[in-house]
Amino acid sequence: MSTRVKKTPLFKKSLHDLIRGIRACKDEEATDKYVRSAISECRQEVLSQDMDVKTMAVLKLAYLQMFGHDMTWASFNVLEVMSSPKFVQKRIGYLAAMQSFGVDTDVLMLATNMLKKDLASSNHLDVAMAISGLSNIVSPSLARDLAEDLIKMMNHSKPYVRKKAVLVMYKIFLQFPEALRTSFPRLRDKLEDPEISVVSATVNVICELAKKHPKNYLPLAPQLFNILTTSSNNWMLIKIIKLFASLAPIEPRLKAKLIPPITNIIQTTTAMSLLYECINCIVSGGMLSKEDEQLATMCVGKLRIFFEETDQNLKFVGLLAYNKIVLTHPLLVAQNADVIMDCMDDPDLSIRERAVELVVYLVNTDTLFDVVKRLMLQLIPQSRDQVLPEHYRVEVVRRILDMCSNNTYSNVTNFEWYVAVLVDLVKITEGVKDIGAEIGVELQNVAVRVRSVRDYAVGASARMVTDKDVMIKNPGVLKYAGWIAGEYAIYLDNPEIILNAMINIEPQTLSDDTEAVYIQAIPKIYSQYAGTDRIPWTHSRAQEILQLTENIVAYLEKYSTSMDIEVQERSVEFLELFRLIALAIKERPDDNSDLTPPALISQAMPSMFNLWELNPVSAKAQKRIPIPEGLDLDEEFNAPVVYSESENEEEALLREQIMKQQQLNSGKNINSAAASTTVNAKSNKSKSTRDGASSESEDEEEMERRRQERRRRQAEDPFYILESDKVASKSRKQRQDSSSSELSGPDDPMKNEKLDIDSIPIMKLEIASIAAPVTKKKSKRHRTQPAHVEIATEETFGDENAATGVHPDEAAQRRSSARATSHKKSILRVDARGLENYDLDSPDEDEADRQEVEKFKAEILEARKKAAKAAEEEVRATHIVVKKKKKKAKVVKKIKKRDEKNDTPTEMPAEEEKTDEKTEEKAVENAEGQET
Amino acid sequence: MAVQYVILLSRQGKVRLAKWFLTLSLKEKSKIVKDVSTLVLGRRTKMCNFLEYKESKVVYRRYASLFFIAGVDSTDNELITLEIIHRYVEQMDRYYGNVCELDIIFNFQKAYYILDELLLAGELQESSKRDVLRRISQQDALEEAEGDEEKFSRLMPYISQLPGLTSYDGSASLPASASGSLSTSFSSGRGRSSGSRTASSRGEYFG
Repeated sequence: MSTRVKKTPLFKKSLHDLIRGIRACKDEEATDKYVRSAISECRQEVLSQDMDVKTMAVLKLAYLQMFGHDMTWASFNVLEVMSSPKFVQKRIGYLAAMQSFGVDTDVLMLATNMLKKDLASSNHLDVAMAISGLSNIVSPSLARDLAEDLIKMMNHSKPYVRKKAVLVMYKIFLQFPEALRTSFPRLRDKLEDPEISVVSATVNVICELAKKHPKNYLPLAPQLFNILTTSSNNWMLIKIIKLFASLAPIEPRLKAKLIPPITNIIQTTTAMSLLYECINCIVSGGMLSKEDEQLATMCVGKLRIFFEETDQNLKFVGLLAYNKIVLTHPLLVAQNADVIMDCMDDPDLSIRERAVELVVYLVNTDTLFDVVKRLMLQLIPQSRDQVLPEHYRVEVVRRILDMCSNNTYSNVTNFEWYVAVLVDLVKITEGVKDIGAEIGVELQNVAVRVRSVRDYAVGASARMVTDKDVMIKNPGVLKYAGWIAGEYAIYLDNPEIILNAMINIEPQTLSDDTEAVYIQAIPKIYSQYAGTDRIPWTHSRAQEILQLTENIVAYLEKYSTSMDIEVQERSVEFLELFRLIALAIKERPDDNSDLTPPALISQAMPSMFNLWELNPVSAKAQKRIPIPEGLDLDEEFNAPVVYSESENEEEALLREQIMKQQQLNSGKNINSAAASTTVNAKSNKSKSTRDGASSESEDEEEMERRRQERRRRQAEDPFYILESDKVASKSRKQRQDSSSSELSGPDDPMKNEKLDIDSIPIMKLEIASIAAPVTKKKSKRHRTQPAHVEIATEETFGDENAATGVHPDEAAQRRSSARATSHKKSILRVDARGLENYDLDSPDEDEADRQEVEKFKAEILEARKKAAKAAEEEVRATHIVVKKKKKKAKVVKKIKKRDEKNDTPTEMPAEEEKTDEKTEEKAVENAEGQET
Repeated sequence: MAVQYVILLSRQGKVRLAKWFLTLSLKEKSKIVKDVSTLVLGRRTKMCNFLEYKESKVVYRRYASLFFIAGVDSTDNELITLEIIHRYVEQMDRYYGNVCELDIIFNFQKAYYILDELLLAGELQESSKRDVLRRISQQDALEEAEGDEEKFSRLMPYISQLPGLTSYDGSASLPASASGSLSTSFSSGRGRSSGSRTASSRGEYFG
């Protein structure tokens, strides 16, 4: 043995040397250096004439590939080793190919014939290896070219080859779905193969196929059912049951047939994996409807066994199964609440997460306090090194919110407690991204829906707004806290403190949407604070308010240049309003004669915000409002804007002036002459259009239209005082007629004082005559709700059943879907689009195929002509070269290149007689035979 | 697709084997290996053997100093995947004869060959234990018959010279360089139900 070792020191390092060398390296740098030198040695060795050297180099590269070192550059050499006649080398070649080739590896097209040869080999081990290799490297063109051969292999005399051929077919189908049609009858036959491993392989393949497009495989149900009832091989039973789980949803009759044998297995098997698969099949196969009490009881009961052992794995899958069953049978699962609750404190976070997910469905009014307390305790870090990972903490917070808000807060009896929980959550989750906003939404929800706890919620929000810690560590919640403080400013104890806290925030400290909310909240709080008539409007009070107003003006000025459109628009709007207020305060006689605040503050401001109380509205309500008769949404409200003449005139004048200025500035006559002519031309043009317009007979009408338009614009302009109210109301009425759904913006506060409510266009939306009346169900009491707490349900339109609005489950779903979409599309998902749409019942596409084949034939013919021509030339060249052995490698390469050009698969170039003309011809023939 | 990949990972985070049943670029492979390694190495012994990674599941089990990791579809049966892993370990144990990490390191290609006989296209191809090993020995015999076994036999003297490698259940001391503490038996995994896994012909979720 040792003599042999000495005899062949052909390569610098054996695989063993390489591995030892790597292991001897002390640090990463040394390893890197060592590996790089090893790879450069391999670069030499793969070119060697000695197949042993070449093979060893490929093996070494395959080893290094495992650690992320590229070896795609050696693909051609791998192919050479694969085509070696020696099994030991072939084996290594295939291994390297499986490790390094991808669908886009370009040498794959050279592999077709080699694979064909190996598949046809008389040695079944060669055949098996080719199939194994193919399962990893199959590309669409390989799949197309080799499908026929593999279908033949499914009837090979040796079961060893048959089962491999069956399994590899799935990979072929993925790349070349057409093969499914031709091979399906044989696949069906394989379900009755005398060899169990072949049957098992077939079941595996059909199971995977059925996941993509179950309808195709329904006809196999009787055969599969037979296997289910007769086989005792657990591996295969699991696959069969999984397969039925895919079929059952599309064929409801299967359920009745399947339940007896599956029940039988559930009750007799000792294999947990099989038991779990059966329960899974019943659940995910859609066999568990609400009526199937007995079946569900059995499943839930069997699953309890999973928790009675100490095995963590069983607990985990048990929780997964419960999580599915709880959707249809929450009460049954709730009977096992004890074991599930225990899992909530499991040291394993994966188990905890599943348990917490499940507990959401199991809590009731009695257990909610306790469960939330347990979860909150988890969130509080026990010690510095025991901080739970952030994703888990986020998960727990979401679950707490879910279980409390579930079913419109039916489990919450004490809303002060709930608000306190929310406040604590804000504190606990400091520094956790995004979750603040979710807590904020809940706080807002409670404040809006539960009137009795509103002042409490407002107090909590006010504390958050003034809390510097919250602003730094959990700013997400402030958007909602700020909104609550503004909307329910009436409950604020110290509005001026909140106001000052808000206006002292510099731009860019908070996110844009929070800023926008704050800007909206400030006028609300201001109107509450300054507009109150409880404090007499004395001189000092006037001064104080004036100071505050000016501070707000200064604050809004800072934001009026914000890049965010919401912030900018709102701040600019209110900026003008506050300037007016400041003016109004200043203009008041300073003699204490009138102790009421200016009307602008005491009446106009509140009327902007307090006319209607805000109630929760279902997210779907807007859609339910029927479109009023005669309203054509495609019709334009206003005709496209026509610029008025005056503007045109002004523009022309301005232009002329600029031109003149230029003329004066430039001393050159030519330029100025040219410029003046253009000006003249332009002004002429505008004049002519003007003349043309005025000469028209509908001149009068046009004028009237424009006048109205101008009035309309003025009416919308809060700073334009109209000559008479009569005109205003007239134009307003016209406006309503033309566009009934136009909403009224914050109108001029001065005018609002005398506002006729009926003229507010929004009232036009009361389409009582057309549709069902708005169902206002303010403070409807929930059935499961203990007395005293009233929770407002959402308002909606029309259908009573849908009136419960967004179900918190839906909200939870939204949350989870938001979480799901945040993930990138997984690269681990197999691309099976071809199979998903592949229907065996669809009309045969033979015709299309035939055409394609014809086309292909023509292409081949042409390629052949070219190849023949090139071969002739080649032969002439090679006659000289062949003699010089050294250059042979080069020629081989040349041929390879040409072959690639012609796109004709050919024999492996590594073979010795490659340069021979005869082989060349044979290769072309081969290719032809294969294509046709 | 049942199994998407199988990775063997040493306790120090070194890859000992990486078999992919779907075609991915080298970059994607490295990313998955890195992510999954961090996840698995961060687990403690008392935890369950399942993890969620992206849209797939990771099923792993530690045997002595090696983590055997399999990636599967999220709809696949976790327990049966553990059985497949266990089956693989058993097969290697029989083939190498009390397998240890060094066997796998220095004869990594054999480990791949065994896996290729056990799984094909990610599906279990043979549920008979005897059959898998028979195929491997047939292939090995073919190699020998070719009189070309020298490359591998060249490795054998070195391996057999290393002390204590034949035993894997801690009775013999192992060189520290070989791999930190291989003292726990391969089959006793997490120190529970010691020996039963290799002794019994069926896995624990398999009746």
